[in-house]
Amino acid sequence: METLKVKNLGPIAEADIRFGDLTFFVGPQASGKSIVLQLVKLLVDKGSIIKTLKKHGYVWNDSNGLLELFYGEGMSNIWNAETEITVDGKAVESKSLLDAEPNRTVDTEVFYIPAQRVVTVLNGWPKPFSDFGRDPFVLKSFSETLRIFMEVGYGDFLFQSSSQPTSPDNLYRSVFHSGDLEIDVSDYRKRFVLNILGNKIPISGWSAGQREFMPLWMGVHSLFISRNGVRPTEKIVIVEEPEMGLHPQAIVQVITELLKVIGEGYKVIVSTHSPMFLEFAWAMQFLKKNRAPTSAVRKLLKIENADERLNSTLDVMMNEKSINTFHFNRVDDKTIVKDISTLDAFSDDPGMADLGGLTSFASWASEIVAENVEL
Amino acid sequence: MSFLNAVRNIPAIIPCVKVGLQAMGTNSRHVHPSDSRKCEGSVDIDTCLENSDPNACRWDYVLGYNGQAYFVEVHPASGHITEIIAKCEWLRSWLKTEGAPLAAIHGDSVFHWLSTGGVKGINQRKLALSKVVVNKLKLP
Repeated sequence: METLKVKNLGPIAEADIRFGDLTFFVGPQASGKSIVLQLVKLLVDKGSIIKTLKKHGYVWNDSNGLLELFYGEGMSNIWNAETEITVDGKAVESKSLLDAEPNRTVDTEVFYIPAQRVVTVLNGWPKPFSDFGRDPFVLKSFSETLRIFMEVGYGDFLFQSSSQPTSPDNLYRSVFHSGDLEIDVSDYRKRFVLNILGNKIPISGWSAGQREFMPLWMGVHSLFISRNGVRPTEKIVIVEEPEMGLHPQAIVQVITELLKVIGEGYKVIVSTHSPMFLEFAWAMQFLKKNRAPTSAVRKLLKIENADERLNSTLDVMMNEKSINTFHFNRVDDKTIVKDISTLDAFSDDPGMADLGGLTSFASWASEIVAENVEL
Repeated sequence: MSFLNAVRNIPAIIPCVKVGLQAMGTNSRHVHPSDSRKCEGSVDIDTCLENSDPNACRWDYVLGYNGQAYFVEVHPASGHITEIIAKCEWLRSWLKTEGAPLAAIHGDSVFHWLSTGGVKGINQRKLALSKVVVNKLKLP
């Protein structure tokens, strides 16, 4: 999917999106970012979605039923008679969602890490798809992916002491510090624990940021692992609010991890409320335009020890990959999605100059202080 | 007092006053007046006072708009903010002495840094304490 046009879908009045290798969505709560992100998943993966739902015993009679099961309870009416969806220049009707052939083998192309990801591991182990109720499909599907990832043993190495990073200059260490993630058995069941100086702490005792981070970390790593010698089938990775619960120091390292994902050949789409991702995008635009050396990107991301693979990824980011940014601007209950990819600090559009509104309060606070300083 | 009357009371910059935003040269593209008819003139303070005050960190421009004076510095984002703060200190000192007629019609009480490329929030807080605001010039 290169382009997506949307009219009258939920709160979205109009959106005209051209995806980059890395695409950012920014905007206030309930402006429709998640609806569009899930739409990408639905349009690309409808075959595997239908197959998964049927496998778990779900039935429906029409596209409204499918939308209800996919988006979650009460969401089926977001796609109505006024809705227009165009993918790469071709119109898509809601009834065409039912055209998929669930019996055919279909690969999943979109890997979706949802904002509500913390609920997938709150019991100490990823919940199975069927343990969820009428939650969004992307949440249930992500949890099931993690569960299978652990069940078949692909994820075991993440929890072995020999695999734990030792360098403090590392995302894992930024979040877990001296603790090591382990798989423990309690009451005859496996569970994740954080081993700090021999004390095995269950998830309920972790910080909020650690709990939020765990499924994100597992999800991202699952993309790097071949399954039975076959690399993952996904081509697009969607991450909602990767900054959730993280200190800015860790967010910088999350950006580096996402670049590694792009380096593996995936396209990445991120929704965020953190100005750090857009400041990164703005800096990258400037560095690319001015043909700065790759060392400038390493410096930007505070990468001190880059291996050959990461250096190569950063080179590719500088020379070949595109970064696009879209502002979901909600006014009077309707959202117009604007391309703010240039992030021009001089733009008359405050949405562009203030990074999609993320820095508007910082600017405003500075203005008020400046007006009231007595010198 | 109009902008031009204020300038007439500052002999050192009288020869440098230009029509509209012309004193800013190509930097004028960073300024967007709501009504260009209200532009009364502009002075490149930095160049104008180069000979009389050669070692000072001089501020760039003053603009006359709708009877008021706006002070503008155009500087790349890579510039160190201590340089901007030093220029602002020089300007405030100048406005208390020779430039006092312009201080009397200072439009919005702050000093504008139009950063060619943007700045980070933390810098904006430091600058605010010197009455410098970034990329927020509005000529109503």
